[in-house]
Amino acid sequence: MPRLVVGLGGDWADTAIDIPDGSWGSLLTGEEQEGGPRVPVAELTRRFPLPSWRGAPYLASR
Amino acid sequence: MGDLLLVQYEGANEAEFSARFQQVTPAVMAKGVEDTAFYRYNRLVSLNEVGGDPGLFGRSVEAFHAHCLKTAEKWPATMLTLSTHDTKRSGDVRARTNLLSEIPAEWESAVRRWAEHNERHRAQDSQTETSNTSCTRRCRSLAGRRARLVAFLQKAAREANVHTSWINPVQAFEDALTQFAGSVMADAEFKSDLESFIGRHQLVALGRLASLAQTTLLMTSPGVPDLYQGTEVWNLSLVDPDNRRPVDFGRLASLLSEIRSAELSDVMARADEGAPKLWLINRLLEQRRTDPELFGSSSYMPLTASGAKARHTVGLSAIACWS
Repeated sequence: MPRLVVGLGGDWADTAIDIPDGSWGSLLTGEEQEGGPRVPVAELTRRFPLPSWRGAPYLASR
Repeated sequence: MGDLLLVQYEGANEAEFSARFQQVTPAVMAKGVEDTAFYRYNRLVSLNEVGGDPGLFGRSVEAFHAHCLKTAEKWPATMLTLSTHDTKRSGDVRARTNLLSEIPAEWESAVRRWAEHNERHRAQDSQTETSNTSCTRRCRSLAGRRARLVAFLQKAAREANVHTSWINPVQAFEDALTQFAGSVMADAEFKSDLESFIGRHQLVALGRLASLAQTTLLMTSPGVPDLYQGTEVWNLSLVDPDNRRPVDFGRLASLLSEIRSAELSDVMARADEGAPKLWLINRLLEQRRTDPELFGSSSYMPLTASGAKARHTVGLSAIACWS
């Protein structure tokens, strides 16, 4: 999720996010994404700037 | 006194005092703060919002997560919204206005330049002028609907209760204000400079991106999202009556049916129509209907970002929904 988008300047550079382990499915595009440490944000936002995902960690926890 | 107001003492008089206090104070606050001070104090106008506090200049990501965690625990079914029939500026107007907080020096220099240039159109009061200038910028993007701008300015001036008011309207001031707005909007040189500023800082595209970001948060944060009519696509509305204009639901329904199953690239190609926002809302609401527990606030988990632009991220595993 981008914030302060002017300063962001459309370039995520090496920014990464830690995603819980497991397989995640996009709520928006149907793509799949593997969890793990330091997943590049640029990769997550390639198709749509605001990705939302659901995944196995959630399904297992309920 | 605190205990008395919190109905900690029994008794008819005590209860009545507490009830009367509760009946009077919200109205006093609304008229004094939201309907008067918010039209006089024009620092960053997106903060002058119903229920908001202009003294709170932004929030940290940590504070946002703490707020969401508390909401998930205490009020998981609370209503979330960006725009209502009562907001002073729609969520999309605020998203765009907020961009200016990132370029304060550029904005200040532009406002000073415009104020000086537009002096020829005769502004009467510096505070009102600041409000006028920023509003003119926003309203310009609404295809310059002069009548809407004039109606807003008249209301803002009356609410501010400095040069004119609802009780004692000062016709001469309001005529001058109307004249000023009309002249400014018809000033080709000003218009060109304004458009150049908007283009140079990509304010339209970035405002849309910020709109999509806050819409995603609206749809996925703990609570129940409420969408005000017409905000399914870009909606740049000011205070009522501007935000109570009729909504073309037929157009929205057509657009939705056209993009529902469209390729994402086709949706993005129709950005000017607001298609990306409608598509995003549709997708997330459909997920919500299919699997309400996914949005059930039961396991909200902030995600941590790192790297050069880490401060530009808000990551949340709202029940395994990274957004």
